[in-house]
Amino acid sequence: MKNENIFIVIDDDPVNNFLSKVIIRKVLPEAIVYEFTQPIEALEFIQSDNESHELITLFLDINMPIVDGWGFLERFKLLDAHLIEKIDIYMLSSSLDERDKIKAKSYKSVQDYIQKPLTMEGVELIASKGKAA
Amino acid sequence: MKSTDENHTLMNRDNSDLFVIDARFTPVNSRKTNKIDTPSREELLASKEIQRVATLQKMAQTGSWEIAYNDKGVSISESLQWSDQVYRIYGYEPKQVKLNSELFYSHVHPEDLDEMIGAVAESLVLKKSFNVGHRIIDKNGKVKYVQQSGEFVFDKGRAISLIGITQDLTEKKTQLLQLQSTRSNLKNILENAETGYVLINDALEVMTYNPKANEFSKMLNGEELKSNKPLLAFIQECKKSKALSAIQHVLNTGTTFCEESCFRLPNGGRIWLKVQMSLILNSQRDVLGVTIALLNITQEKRLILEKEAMNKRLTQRNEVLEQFAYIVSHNLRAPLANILGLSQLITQLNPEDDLFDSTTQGLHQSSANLDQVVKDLNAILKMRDEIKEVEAQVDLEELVQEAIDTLGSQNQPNVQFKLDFNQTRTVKCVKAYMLSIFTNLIGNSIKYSKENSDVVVEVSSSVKRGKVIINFKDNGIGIDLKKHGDNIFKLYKRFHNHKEGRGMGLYMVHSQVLALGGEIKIDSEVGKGTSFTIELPA
Repeated sequence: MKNENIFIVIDDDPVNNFLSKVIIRKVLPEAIVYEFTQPIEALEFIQSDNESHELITLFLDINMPIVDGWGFLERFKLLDAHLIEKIDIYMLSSSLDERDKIKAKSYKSVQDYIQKPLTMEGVELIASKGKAA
Repeated sequence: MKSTDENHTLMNRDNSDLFVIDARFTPVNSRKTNKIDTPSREELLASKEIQRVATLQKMAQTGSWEIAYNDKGVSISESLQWSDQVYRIYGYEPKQVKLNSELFYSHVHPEDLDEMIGAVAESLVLKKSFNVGHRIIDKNGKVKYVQQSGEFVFDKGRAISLIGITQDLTEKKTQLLQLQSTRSNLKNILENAETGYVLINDALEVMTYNPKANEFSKMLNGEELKSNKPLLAFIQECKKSKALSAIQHVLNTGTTFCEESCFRLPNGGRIWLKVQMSLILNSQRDVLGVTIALLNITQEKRLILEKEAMNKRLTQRNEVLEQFAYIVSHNLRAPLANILGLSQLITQLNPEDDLFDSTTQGLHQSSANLDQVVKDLNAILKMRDEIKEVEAQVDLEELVQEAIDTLGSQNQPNVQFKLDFNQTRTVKCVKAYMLSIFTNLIGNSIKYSKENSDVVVEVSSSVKRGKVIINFKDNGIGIDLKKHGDNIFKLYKRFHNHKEGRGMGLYMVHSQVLALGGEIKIDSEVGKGTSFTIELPA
């Protein structure tokens, strides 16, 4: 199947990951959602999947211990070009701080900034964008 | 052409004590009667001589006078004769006024009159010349300084006249007075200056100093400054080498040295002095020595330090506020966002749905998280109130024991404590804070210990530079300070995944140490251990 929907959610809070997964599946019942509470593990997973060319949508939290969302983005920049190419990153944060939004937009790989909680409308919007591209 | 009426006397010093009069005053009327039509050669010469003397008198601002004495030894008032220059000194045009002794005495400054009369009387009795300086009030009321030198002329032991010269010293005297007043003003300034001055020669000996410098010396060493003694004898032991190198630098390079320095007083206090040293050169630009200026700037320094402390407090407050904004944005809103999302979701779920249980569990978890953040915030705010608690001397060993008791179940049997409180057993602090600090740090040492190895926690105390230093050291897993150094003491910052922790402990420790007026530093190496050093005011 060509347009298999693959999602990665990264948040140190498993409750948020659970919620995100459920919401994504509500919109896209066939979606595959990978959950990570540690950004480093997510990076390792992305690198291990070198063969696939499927588009991946990634939801990234900002506030996390050890490596936070920004730390993930810095490391992500250093990945192979085709890996960067196939992954659309959306910041998914509870932060109301404008500075976080501005900082998120400064990363080329970041498509948008979504305020928690993730909603079905939000997933629908992203899904339609993905299809258009 | 000068008037030939010019009266003058020419005086030569004889072997005797007396003046011999070569040319005598001649009464004007008698001169008239003696007048002849063609002046003789002698008369021409005399006339020239008269002119020359008049010019010299004018240049020297000196005039001459004479008064005759009767056979009773009393001056003949009307016989007083003045040269033109004397008239000018007294403010008259030559011959403008009729002379007599009353006129003369009327011009003597009343305060100097007795001295003047006394000098003349003494001269007559001792048969010696007199020389007296006094003030006169001239015709125009102007006070002038004159020098009167005179001597009696005796004939067969009887005084027949008194002759003398009057020199106008007003200009010189005024200059002298100005110089004196400049000097005394300078002296006055130096003696009352807030700045202490010590002048030393190039052999580093004290040449001179003002009272303020002496005051500083007494204050710093209990010793009075003394001239011709080595300067180093008056400098505190700990400042000697620094002072010496500064003075030598000034002597060698000619540059001015300036520094603000803190001095310890024998009574335990401290003062801040601004020390300035500069080279003294004479007009030939030879080095004479060094001036050392000392100014007490303790008050100003205290204000600056207070300002700095206030700035630091404000900056800290600001950081706390920013952290609160961050907490509200992330830590408070994260569980709230979950609750929003989950509660929205649950309305669409059937209680029989597999997801229903997970959703309610998630709701519960997020509510508990939210509650915990609120509790944390409350703890932080409460801590800020506790600062009002009184400080007391707290026993360090007891603190360790109480911390271990507080940790309770968290404490594992394989923890080994090495305590060294020999240097100081107690510390002055708010006990609740100190217990919290001890509990958090010891708790961290246990929590972040290496697996399968004994936990060793070392706690020691020492006193350095008037501060109590408490050191905590463990052999735990350590922390990468290059990566996390900036965030170590920040709220809700966590550095380990596999260990439970909310990122409250070190934030609280840091805040409490600051509230106690202290400082905390961390040193750590991954895999080796961590040490915390707390510096508290004694």
